[in-house]
Amino acid sequence: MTRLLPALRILAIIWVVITVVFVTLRLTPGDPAELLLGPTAGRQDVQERLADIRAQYGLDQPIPVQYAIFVGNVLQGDLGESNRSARPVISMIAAAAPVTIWLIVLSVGTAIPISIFLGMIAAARRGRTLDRGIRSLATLCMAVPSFWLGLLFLQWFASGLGWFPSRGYVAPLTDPGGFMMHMALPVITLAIFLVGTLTRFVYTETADTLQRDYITVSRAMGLASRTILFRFAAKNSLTPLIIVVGVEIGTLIGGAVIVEEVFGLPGLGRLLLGAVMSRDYPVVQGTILVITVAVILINIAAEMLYRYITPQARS
Amino acid sequence: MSASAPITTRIGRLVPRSPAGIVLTLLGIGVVLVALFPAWFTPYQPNGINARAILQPPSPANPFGTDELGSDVLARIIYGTRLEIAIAMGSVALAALFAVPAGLLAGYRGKTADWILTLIADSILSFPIVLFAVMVVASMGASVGTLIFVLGIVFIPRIFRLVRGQTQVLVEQGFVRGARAMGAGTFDILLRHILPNILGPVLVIVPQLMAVAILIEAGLSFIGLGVQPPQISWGSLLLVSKNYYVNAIWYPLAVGAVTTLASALLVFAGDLAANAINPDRRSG
Amino acid sequence: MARSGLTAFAVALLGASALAAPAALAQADTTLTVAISGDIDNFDPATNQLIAFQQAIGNTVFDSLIGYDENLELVPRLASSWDVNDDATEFTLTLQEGATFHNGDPVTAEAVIASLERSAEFGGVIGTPLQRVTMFEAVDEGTVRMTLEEGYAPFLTALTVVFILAPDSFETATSEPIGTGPFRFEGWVPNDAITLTRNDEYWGELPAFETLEFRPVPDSQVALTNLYAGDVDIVAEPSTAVLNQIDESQAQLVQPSASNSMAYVEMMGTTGTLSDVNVRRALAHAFDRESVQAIAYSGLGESTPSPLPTSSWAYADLEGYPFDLEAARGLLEEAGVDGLTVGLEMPAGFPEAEQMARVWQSSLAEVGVTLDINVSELSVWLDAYVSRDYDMTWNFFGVSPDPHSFFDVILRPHFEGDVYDNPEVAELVEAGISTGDMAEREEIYAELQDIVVDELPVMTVQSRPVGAIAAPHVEGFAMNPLGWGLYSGVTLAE
Repeated sequence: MTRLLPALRILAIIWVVITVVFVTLRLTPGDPAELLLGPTAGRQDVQERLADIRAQYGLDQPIPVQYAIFVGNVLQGDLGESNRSARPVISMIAAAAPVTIWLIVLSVGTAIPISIFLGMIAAARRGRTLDRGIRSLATLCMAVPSFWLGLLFLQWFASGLGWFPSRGYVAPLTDPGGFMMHMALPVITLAIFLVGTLTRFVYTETADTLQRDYITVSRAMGLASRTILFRFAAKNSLTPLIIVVGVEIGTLIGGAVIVEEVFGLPGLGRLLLGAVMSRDYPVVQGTILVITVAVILINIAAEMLYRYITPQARS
Repeated sequence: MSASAPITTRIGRLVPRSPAGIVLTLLGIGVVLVALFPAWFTPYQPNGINARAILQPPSPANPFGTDELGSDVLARIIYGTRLEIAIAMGSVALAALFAVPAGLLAGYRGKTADWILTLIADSILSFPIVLFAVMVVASMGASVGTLIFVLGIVFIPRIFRLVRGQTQVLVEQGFVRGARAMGAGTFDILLRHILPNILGPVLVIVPQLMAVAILIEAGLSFIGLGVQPPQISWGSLLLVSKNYYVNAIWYPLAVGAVTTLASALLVFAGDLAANAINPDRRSG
Repeated sequence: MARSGLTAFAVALLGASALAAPAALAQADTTLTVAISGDIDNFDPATNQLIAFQQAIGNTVFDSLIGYDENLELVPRLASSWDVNDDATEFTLTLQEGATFHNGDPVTAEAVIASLERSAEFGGVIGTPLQRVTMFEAVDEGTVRMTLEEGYAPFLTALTVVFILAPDSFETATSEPIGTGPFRFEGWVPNDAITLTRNDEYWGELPAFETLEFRPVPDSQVALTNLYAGDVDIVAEPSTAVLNQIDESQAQLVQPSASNSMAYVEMMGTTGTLSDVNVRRALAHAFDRESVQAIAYSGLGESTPSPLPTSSWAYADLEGYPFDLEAARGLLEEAGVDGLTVGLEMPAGFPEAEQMARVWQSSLAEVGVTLDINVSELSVWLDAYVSRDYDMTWNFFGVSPDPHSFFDVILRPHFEGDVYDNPEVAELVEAGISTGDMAEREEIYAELQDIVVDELPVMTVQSRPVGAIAAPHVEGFAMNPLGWGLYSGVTLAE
């Protein structure tokens, strides 16, 4: 029973999330059929067409019936078709997901080494100017609105200096160089927030570890302080970083929505935002379901990795 | 940790003593004054319209230039402070109102209550903020109240997790066990023994959550979900100013810099408070 | 199963979709990249009736029978000539010789009729005028005759938005439309690109470039930055604020000869305080046209009280309501209104509308009226608009060369619904379409404009400065007064 509880929890969270999405979408003002016709949807001579559209997408059914159909389809692995483009939701998600995955993977991959470096230097130089400088910088990184920074980057580095393309996505195999160039500005924009958060975390953990007894003892035994810092402190303070990154994934997906919007990346964030705005119910439901499952899986993976690295946490 | 210290001592530690703490406190008081009495800080009206002074660059009279309607940008930032603070404080207070009792209950009772409450908190955490905000704004209209509601819900899991964790630790402490052995009721223990001891840590994360609130408000304004004119928040200024990156760069720069600085200072304040309340772990 | 799923995932992560590849590899010099403000997700011309679709896809992938030139004169498209009888009940159109659909099928009278009948069946603003046709007739292989029971003067202009779709693609047009236009539909990557390639079999003049790419960029400022960075050649319909701040050395402003895009404030005329016409007049007197034009429209466009654009043959020069706060106060007093609060709805994403509202708000405050500006997400605004749940709402509309379009699309719901009560208006609107006599029509529309300005079911804000921004190497790009980019004539200089 206790073994089953975590699995039950996960299923329960997924169920709560998709149910809440389903219900609130239908309670939210905005009619998908009206949106398809635009401002003329109020004319008397288009009411018939409006009714046809509602029937076509099953929107004329009572909400409980719509819900039953939706849940039944999800259990069969069918996320339905877009109300607008008639494309299968699953293929729209499959096309958009790589962009967002790359954006997040590259941002995390950039932010982690920088944060470890900055955080440990600051901890080692505690109380000195370098420490204060690094920590002030980290705090600023956390505090800057990402779309504002993204627009500034766009203005300076893409339009002004012309170093990077200003929009769009190129797949890595199609054109590896182009892929890196196109991802550079979005990744930096998203990574800056992460660098702020993670640097502060690494600093705190490392500073704590350095105060602990065994390091004092090693120091007394005459080991060089730099060696101590990197040998002992690293392992103890960096493993929890895995958990923190897992927790931050949710925030990163939120940030990805805005970064994708600024840099014209056709990722999951724009897919979701666009679908919400056009009240494309199946696309919203499918995207949220996939994102929720991904966030949960990433957190489980982070926890498992953490336990694997630190055996004492297994208990 | 000296969990049994009286509440006055623990909260009292939050009174700033370091120079940085004093400076930050004064700044904080200054910002509150700006929010309460904006007219003391600028001679201009925030919603003035002057067709002959549109998008003027910074000058001694208008240190941050003028906006697209000819208003002084600095005056608009100053008048925007009030709503910004209202949104930041209101959302944290709203979250605390639900999350503190829920966290106490989950941490103290455990079992089913804990399972359900944690499930709710985790569900909120897995729900994309943007989607949630779009739906709430669509239903309730874009207003200060809506933003407070959205951010309040978003902050619930963060405060809940903290309170629940702290409570779980305290329940195992001698003085709580003692009180329980002496026959104190659940309500009594929560209110007299546990709540005072978790207030400190909760207060410490308030400034950080306020900083997050300012950032999320900016992000939501960017996708058009912010407050409506004539109301002004920094997010709404960021939204409007983004149309002028090319021709009037000082305008978005000024608004963005003020927003960044304000949330950075809040994070600093949180760090100082954390150090004060946790002297054993001087790390932040 | 799991393995093949993983493999597919790895391919998706690394590889391009089949569509992105050619776009990235195509010779850059023969691709025209256009930033549009919203994505297009349905490519069926009968069911997608949104203006964005007509502007980008309608005239590129498709041909209408009759089209507009850059001054909104009717010109031959798929019909090389047409003939109308005197009471505007019989329309005979001759099709272009040798025209083919993109799948190679010839354009026959039968195919055209099938497409027209399908549009009529789907109805909406595009199909409704076709529902007046009582008989479609293939006179011969290349001639189509449509017979209407009653005269309908705006029929030819109505045909300009009816795009001809190949009968073979009736079922699949949503995602794979087959038209006759100068470009074939190649593919769509949501939120990224709509790719069209030149139709080398086109019956008319061939475009000088091979690929036409539409890129959805919702934010005009970002689109302008994309253009300066060289990633976009044309920004179609940027916001007014952005239109006015381009750097002449890096871009050119392309504007049509006139603007038929009009901004309005529609008012609730039957319930609440605004049902008193004097209150509506008071609000109009507090509307400072000069400041609105200077601030919200950067001095551009034409600020006139008539709901029709000045370029319209039916335009009437009316005095309207001069900016006069005293007069406004007097009218409010007369109506016995004190401390009035009025809501103004508008969709998000139109900064110039918000600026107009702020200017109006500040002068209304001086006469004791509080203006509540409610900017909502498009779908929420649309809900309120369609259900007529507002005090006042901002809106805009591209008035076609036939003045009937304004009275039909914007005003009709007012008198058909319970928003505006004046039976005379309904009669006049019907009278305006049932005669083909121009002098008579001009008189009718002059009277209608007079009534609209006097009773204010709709207050005209002004014409919206329509325009596009093009990179310096783009030559021959024109725009018509409705804001449709005419892409076929573009050449790309080195």
